[in-house]
Amino acid sequence: MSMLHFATPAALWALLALPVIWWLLRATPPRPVEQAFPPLRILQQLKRDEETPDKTPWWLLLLRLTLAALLIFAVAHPFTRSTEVLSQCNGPVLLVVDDGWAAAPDWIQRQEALSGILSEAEGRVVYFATTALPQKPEGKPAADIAKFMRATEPQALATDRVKLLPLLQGLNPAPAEIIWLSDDLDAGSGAAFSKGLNALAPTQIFDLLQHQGPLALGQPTLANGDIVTPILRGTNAPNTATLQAIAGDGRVLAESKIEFGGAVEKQAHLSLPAELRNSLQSLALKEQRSAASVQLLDDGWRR
Amino acid sequence: MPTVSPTSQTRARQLGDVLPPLVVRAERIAATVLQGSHGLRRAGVGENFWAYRPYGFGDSAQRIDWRKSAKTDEPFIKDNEWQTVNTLWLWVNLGPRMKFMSHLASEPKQDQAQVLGLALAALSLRAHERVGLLGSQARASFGRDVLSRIAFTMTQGNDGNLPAPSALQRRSTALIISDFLEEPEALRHRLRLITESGMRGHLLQVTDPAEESLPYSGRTDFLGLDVQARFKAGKAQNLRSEYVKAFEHQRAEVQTIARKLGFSFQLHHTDQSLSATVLKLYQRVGEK
Repeated sequence: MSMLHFATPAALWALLALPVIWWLLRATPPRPVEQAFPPLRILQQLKRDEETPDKTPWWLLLLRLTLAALLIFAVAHPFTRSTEVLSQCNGPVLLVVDDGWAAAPDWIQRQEALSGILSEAEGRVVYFATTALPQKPEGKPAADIAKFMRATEPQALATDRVKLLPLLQGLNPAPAEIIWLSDDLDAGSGAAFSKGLNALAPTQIFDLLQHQGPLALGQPTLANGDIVTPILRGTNAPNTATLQAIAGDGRVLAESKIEFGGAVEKQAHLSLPAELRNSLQSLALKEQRSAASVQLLDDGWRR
Repeated sequence: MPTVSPTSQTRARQLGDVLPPLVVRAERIAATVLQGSHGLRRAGVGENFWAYRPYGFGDSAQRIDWRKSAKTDEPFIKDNEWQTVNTLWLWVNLGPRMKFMSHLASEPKQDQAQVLGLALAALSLRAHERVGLLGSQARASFGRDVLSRIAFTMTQGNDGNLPAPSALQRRSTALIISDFLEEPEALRHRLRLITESGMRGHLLQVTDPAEESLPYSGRTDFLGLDVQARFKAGKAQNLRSEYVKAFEHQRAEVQTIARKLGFSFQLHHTDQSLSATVLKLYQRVGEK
């Protein structure tokens, strides 16, 4: 494992030219002019305060060679990876991304986080695995994965991690580290999945910086003419929610604001006049973009 | 019939190549100098000044000058005045150091040194002096062919070390032409050997301008010409000021040695005119 990586490692072959440079540098001081001089005896009497060596001193040679070597290194464009998420190693990275409904509200942030990780993984092989519709991932350069990642969208599905896990076994080359971008929902399989990933390679569970947990709508019911809808709140989810009754043309017919006060589940009550209820088409949580925050209503709700 | 060896043939050919230019140059300079110097301020040594003295005990009868003696009652002897005529003993350093020529000079030091020496020899010969090469086995003599003989001997070069004079070379003038870049102590030792034989004389230092000014810069390995040595300089220009001082010091020491031993000292740069130096030197030689 080395800290240093090269953008153009081919340039390092130039280091083989160092002996030639060494030879050239040794030859660099021009051969002295030979001058016959009869009063040589008088010349030899002079005290020589300026002792000029006849060849390049070793330290100067070393300095010049170091300079040449550094130049070659510079051309090879060395860089150290910024180490926000990934380790310093150069092996393949497995990215496991939860792309179920719970990931939808902050999908943009997730993509940004992923592209940050992928830029750290430059020059490394990357596997990209999603949990909503599990498929065996293919190892590709980080740049290719980044393009592919930008095109992916969250699925209106729950994650199926149990199905993904066996697909991740036997990857060649085997991943050296695993980053799991989780949606924070356990879904009954989180612990087993985490253990399974750790068995493959050291796994990091990556959390978004400003991550809000999801809200989900339960099955609405009618009670005393009111539409009663249970709203489920995940960990870190906002403490307030606004349930909106939305008409077929997109108008908001009514709103109900609720405070959870730390509770996991609360019921929202919407009371609508009959005409308005007849034009009601869906219930949705305001400012929540996920499949779980919308309930479509059928004709059974009309009067 | 004597056979001529190939080497001596080659040498003769070399001689033909080398000698005339050197001798011709030397004589041309000598002619210029003679024209330029009015009055040599020295007694001539021609026939006019030969002295007569009465015939005495021990003189060979053959030496009696009958014409002079016939004018008087006494026999006269034409004295061997010519034997005490000044002799110039020349020595030119032709060692490895003298082959040097920098980009500031047009000729190697040894070429200029030889021409200077030969020009002085030519002037001395014209003044009916005898000229010989210091350290050579040949005796000093006069005559026109002496110059060629000296020039020929010079082509054989020497090792750059001032030779000790032989016993014959007494009471005469030495002209020593060199760059005087050796150890001052070694020079003192060799000059003393010459002065001990009774000779006095003149030192002529031939210097390439580059030897004075060290006009080099940058990484330079200086190589010795007379010694297998190497001096590595990282920045030659930084040595310049210190070197110039050291060179001046060397010259000053040579001058001190010369003065103490009774030699005159003169300087010639290889980018200077030869005749100016010859004129000065000739006047100085003539004063003695």
